[in-house]
Amino acid sequence: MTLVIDNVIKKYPIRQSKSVVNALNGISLNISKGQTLGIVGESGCGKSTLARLIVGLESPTQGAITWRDNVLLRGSKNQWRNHLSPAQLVFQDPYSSLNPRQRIGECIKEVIVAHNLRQKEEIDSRVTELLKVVGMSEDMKNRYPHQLSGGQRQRVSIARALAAEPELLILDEPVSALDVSVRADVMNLLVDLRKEFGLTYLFISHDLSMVRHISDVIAVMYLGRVVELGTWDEVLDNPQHPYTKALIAAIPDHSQVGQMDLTVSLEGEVPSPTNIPLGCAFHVRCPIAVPNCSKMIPQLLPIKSSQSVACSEVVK
Amino acid sequence: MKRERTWINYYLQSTSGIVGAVLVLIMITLSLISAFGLAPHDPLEQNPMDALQGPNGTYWFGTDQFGRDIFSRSIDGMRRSLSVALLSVGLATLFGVTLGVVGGYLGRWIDNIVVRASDVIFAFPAILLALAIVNSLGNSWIDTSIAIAIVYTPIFIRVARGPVLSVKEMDYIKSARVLGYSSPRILGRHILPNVFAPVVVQVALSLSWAILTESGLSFLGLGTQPPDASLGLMVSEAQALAAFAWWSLAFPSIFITIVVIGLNLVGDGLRDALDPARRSTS
Repeated sequence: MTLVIDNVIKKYPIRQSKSVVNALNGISLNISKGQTLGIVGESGCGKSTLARLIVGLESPTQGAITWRDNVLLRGSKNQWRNHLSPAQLVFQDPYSSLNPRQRIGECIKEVIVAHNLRQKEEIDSRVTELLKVVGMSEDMKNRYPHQLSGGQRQRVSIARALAAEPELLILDEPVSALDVSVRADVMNLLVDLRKEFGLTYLFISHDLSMVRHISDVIAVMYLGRVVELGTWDEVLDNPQHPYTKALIAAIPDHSQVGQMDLTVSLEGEVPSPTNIPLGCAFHVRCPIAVPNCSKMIPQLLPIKSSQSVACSEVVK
Repeated sequence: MKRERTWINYYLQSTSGIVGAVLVLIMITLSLISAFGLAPHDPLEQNPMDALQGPNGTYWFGTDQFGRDIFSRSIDGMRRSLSVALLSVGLATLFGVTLGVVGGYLGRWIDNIVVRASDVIFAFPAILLALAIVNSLGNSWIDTSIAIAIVYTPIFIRVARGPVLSVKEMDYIKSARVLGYSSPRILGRHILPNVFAPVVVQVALSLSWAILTESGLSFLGLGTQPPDASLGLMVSEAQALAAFAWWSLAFPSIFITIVVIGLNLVGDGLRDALDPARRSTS
């Protein structure tokens, strides 16, 4: 195991209303080197919070995230400040993730200069090399972000992350802001890069077809918890948790994502993370809920060697 | 590669911006003439024989009741006004921008203290606060500058803090933190460039306010003291004479007006040139 997320809890206190947003309610996940873990779930389920915790933008309220025995984050101190973290992040919005006043070349060069990653004379060729790696030509160096398309910007973001020579790349909805026509290009680029540099990915998305395309293992999240975990074919072709089933059934043509014929549909909205239902957080919308579901929080239990489900009705 | 147009190119497209710059440059040149002692007469020299003469070949702007040359006194007053304006706005920019950027970026209690303190200063009318501070500091031009700087620092705090607050939430700042950049690097290379444009505009506009405040203080008897010349003081002294010696009031007033209009036009021109959305042609 290389990345171990051990029972991580993240709460955001809201001062005005004296309430607490429970973004993550005890998440445990592992990713092995070279693997891709896909995380799916509706907006507000804590996917992006998890990404921010792993790269050290925030600290967990409780629990630990470790990378190869080094504790990435513990308590309130971010040990990666002023140091290069082995985990880098690619943001969803390619428009706000690049400094509008910085040329593309400068943007990538800054990573190398700030951390002395190359000798002075090698820097320029390294920038060119990184641009080539993401499929961009050298003359893009002098462009400003506003002169590039969304897909090109996202390639620059990826090149910038690669400049830091990460081992783990966190992709927070990297293609959801892009035109459908360029999504496939960027996804293929990500697949190639993983092979070329032996990268480990954490791929966050609400788009199951994208997750299927790239993931080895898929975790389905609902209100800050993992409700189902397994290899991509298990989770998508043979979903067990009623939420996973509903998520797949919600795709208009879900035969492209999974093989099970599903007609489940969900009612109601996701409950607010400031006021999570007691027991199983999903029971208020669950088609197979029994009265007991509101009393006990179901644990993630294995039903096969690699597939686990957090549902007392399924595991029973 | 085609050379890109800088903000200077955009500035030079605006007629009012050029007019403003010319007016300000004329006033700066006159101040320099005075500073190097090249004025036609000594601004303090009294010639009772020539008292209260109208504008003529010897005394271009006429003389006051002591026979002092109003042109020489006006350009000397302009020199003093501009010095006070530059020093006070310089100090206000330095402290205001530092406090605003640091407060906005660090947030929490530091920001709270900065904002509350500037609210307190904002609560006083500018001239009253400047009066009080000059009263307790003294009357030298440096004291006057410090007083005006204190009054205008909160404006620079606000001008600098606003863009910092909006920029620091952008993904590229988060990405800079994930990349392990140091805080000075993030502030200097990713946040400050966004603060530059509004601050430059504010500097130009504040210079004109500072000149008005300095004139106001001198008019009220604080700030520059007789016999030194100051535009505000000259206006104050000329009040009694205005009925029969219009030139003693008119010329210092015109100088104040010209430099204030000039600086305001420069400020407007800079605002248009530095804001990509306002650039009419691109």
